[in-house]
Amino acid sequence: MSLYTAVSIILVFIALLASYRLFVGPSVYDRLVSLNVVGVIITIILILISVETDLGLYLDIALSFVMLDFVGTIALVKYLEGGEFV
Amino acid sequence: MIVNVISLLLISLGCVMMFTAALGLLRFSDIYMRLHASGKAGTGGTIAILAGILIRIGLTQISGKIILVMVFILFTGPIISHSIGRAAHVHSGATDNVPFHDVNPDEDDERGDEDDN
Repeated sequence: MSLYTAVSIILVFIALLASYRLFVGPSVYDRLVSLNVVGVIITIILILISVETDLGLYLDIALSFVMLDFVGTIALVKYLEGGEFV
Repeated sequence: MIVNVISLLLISLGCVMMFTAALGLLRFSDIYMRLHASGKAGTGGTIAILAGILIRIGLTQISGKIILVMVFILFTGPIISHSIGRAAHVHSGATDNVPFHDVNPDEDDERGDEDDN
């Protein structure tokens, strides 16, 4: 087992620990914070897969995932906040 | 040899920081405390893990995109934390009777009348 696989397994368990707030969070903002952390961990795991298997394809997926995660979180926050969409 | 040691230290530090962020997210009692845990420790742990990977693989073809992801996470993490904290603060009703003019610019006149009364 290489280093990248071990770090990926550790990060999967950390994501499971962080996703507790995603399922039983009291408010919707707790779920958003947890979703942000889980998305960042998924990005790191994609980069680790890319470095391990030497495929540059996963890096493009990671970059797209980060950008879509950011835009989706901002859109959800603007929707929940109410008022006008900028 | 020294490159391996430095990258291992950075990756271990990043894993510990991500675990700290998850633990703070799990154990803290308020939405602002959870933002405090995930906003700093999450972004810092991500930067540390990606910097460790960068040092380990050297300057190859794929390291430019890793630097791009690093810079993007470094820029967007505080923006997301600020947005969630601001939305939670507005949603909690703490800004209903105080002049918080940036919330909803259309209701500034009504707020001014309420302040006069």
